[in-house]
Amino acid sequence: MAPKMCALCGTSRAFIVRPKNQQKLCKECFTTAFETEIHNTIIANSLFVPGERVAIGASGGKDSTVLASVLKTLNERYSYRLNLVLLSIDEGIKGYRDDSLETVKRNAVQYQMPLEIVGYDKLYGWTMDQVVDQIGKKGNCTYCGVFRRQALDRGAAGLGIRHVVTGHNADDIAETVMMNLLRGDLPRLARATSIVTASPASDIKRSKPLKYAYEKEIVLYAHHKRLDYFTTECIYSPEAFRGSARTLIKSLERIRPSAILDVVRSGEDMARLVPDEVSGGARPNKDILVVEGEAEIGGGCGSANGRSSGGEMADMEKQLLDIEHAQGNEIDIALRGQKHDRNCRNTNRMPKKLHKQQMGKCKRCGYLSSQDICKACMLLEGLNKNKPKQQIEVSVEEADSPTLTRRMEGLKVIPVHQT
Amino acid sequence: MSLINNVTGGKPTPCARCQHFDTVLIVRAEHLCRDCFTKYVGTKVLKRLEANKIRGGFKEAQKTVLLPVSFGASSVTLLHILDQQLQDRAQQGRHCGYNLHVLFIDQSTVLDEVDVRDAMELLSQRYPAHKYTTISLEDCFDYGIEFEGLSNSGEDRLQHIISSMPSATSKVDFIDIARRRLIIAFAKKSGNDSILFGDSTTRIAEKTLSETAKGRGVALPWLTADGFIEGIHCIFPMRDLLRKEITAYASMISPPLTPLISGESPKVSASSKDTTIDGLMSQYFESVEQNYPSIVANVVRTSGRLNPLAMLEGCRSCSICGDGVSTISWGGEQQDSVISSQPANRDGQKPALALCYGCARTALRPQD
Repeated sequence: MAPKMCALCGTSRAFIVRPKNQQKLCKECFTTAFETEIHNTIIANSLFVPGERVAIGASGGKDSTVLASVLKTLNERYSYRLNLVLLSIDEGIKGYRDDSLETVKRNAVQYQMPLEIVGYDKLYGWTMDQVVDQIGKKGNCTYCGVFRRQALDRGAAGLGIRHVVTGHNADDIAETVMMNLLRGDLPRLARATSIVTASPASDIKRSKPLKYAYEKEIVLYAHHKRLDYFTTECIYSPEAFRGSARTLIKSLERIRPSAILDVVRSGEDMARLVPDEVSGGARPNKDILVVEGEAEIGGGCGSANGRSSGGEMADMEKQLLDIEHAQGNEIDIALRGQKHDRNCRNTNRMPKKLHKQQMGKCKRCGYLSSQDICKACMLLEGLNKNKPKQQIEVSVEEADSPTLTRRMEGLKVIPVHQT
Repeated sequence: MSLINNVTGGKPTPCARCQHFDTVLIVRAEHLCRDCFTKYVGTKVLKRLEANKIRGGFKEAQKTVLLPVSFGASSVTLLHILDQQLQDRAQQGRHCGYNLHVLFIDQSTVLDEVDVRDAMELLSQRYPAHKYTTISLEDCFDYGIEFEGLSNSGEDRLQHIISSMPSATSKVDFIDIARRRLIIAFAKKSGNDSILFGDSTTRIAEKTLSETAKGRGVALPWLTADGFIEGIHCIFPMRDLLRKEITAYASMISPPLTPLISGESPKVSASSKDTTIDGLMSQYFESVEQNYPSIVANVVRTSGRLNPLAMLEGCRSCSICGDGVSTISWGGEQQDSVISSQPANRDGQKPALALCYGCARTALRPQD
């Protein structure tokens, strides 16, 4: 049998079956196609402006390493004239983050990019290991996600950078679409798929240039370019919903490889169907959507691989049941004499009022939030309340307690917006 | 926790509603006796009808409502409940707001289905007050559904299209679309202004996720929520009932509905080649329904809150599903993507093929 030739160049032997569309390509054509598609995404969405300083959220994992490598390549090939910086978060997870940070440090040398590391301990007074010690393995991803989002913004602000790019890939986004459907979270469904998240209330713009890139292709690319990345997954277990959605996405990909992209497409379309009062209003710029101090999309914290405690789903099940029962106990009270109008064309029900999100600033740290107090500060309050007494004494006595430092940093770093 | 468990052993708990009879099952964490459970199911259905103005109003002209049946538990149960409502009203000498026209779409020529002619006979014997019609899926061409650019002109047109579909998922998807279009076309031709679909909560949740997975998220409001399609009022009266609740109901009432129900066991396939996206979602929600029934219901509520998109003006209709084909280019499509390179002349296909995103995924083969 004659060797199969590359479908694009026709001169080299095909080595790779593209996970996305089963196209058989040679190594060179695959890497070029992969890079060109990301370039197309960047151009089509006008992600960058010439001369812009951009921070790459770098975890040392495959996604952010590939992102850094591809951006460096494209920046040179197409003269984006970008000033690229690596920005890493140290969550304080021993045996996971300390090792992956070493990878990022090597990447910084390999790609000749400056590196900035921001630690949870400095920002919040808590490492993730300490958080897990206190609250257990269940639900700690919430803390990590909320903290990371703010940490990236604060890190970027500290560097005077207003644009952070992250390595979220198509699988992550597809997973998030499914997860938000399962959780019934319309506001997040509305914004999970947008390539740029920015808000008038925040100075830091976020974008995801790998939005349409398949995880499998990212791994292939990293492999063929011999990139130096860190493979170990986060040692703490993921949320049940995400785990469930991830398993679903992986099964879908096996049945129909295009399904990942198809879910992303559906997610983008559905975002347009979410009522304005839920999504925060239609804006002329399709990219402007509100962001809250929460992990919008996973990634960065490893894969779930279907491991899940189920606790989160059970909690939601209970909540939903409670609501249902409460509604069942409601009694309809009608004014006497008022009869149902037989000619009434409409249903008798009042339209349901949907919760509307309004973005403002956290009263404690000044970070963007839909509530008075942002999610990170709420979580911190809970953590600090339960902190063993001795530790509280220490932080009270010391003038530069971590919590206090964080507040001061918050005041210093985040420029106050006059609106 | 809210499983429907048959309560066995120990002292029976009294029903939480009537406090009189013994509990036979636990529905959404509530202990119910047989009577109260039967009432619960009936009320859920009639409430949906009421919300959609299908009722016995005095001033309203009597409507004929189309009820497509698949002989699954859900559509048969729906027929039973409606038949009962109509009978009750007739006995009380009250006006009936609607007549039922029961429709079965025979798919035996394209799917390995048991012959259901007998089943239709049984159904009409048990509920003789209604009109019954059986048509074949292949009749779709007689109802003006063309699948332009895909079909030839031969006798086996439909077979031809189905066998040209690239995967098991695509075949099932295409048949679903064809059946749905035929039901709507039949309703129009027969002068029915409403269609009552038998989809349960569980089925709608499955559909929500599988249509999302097939790239048809944009069509979800049309496929899963009550609303008007081509002027026909499409209603899902069983949308507040879980599949396991309906199955329990069907076997519990007397005489049971079980002899009328055939097939519709979730198609589980051992080989991944034959696994379909719809099959995967059925399996998935079967397990979610066991442990987290409220989450299933929540998925349905969520998709129900999406606003339908206004039909695109002046755009071409999709050759398969008939919806508008968006001409806006999409960022996820790259130059080598399947969608942008729709074949002009393959297998004698006319270049007239216009496909929406989801149907292009279904009908076109990934590149070699």
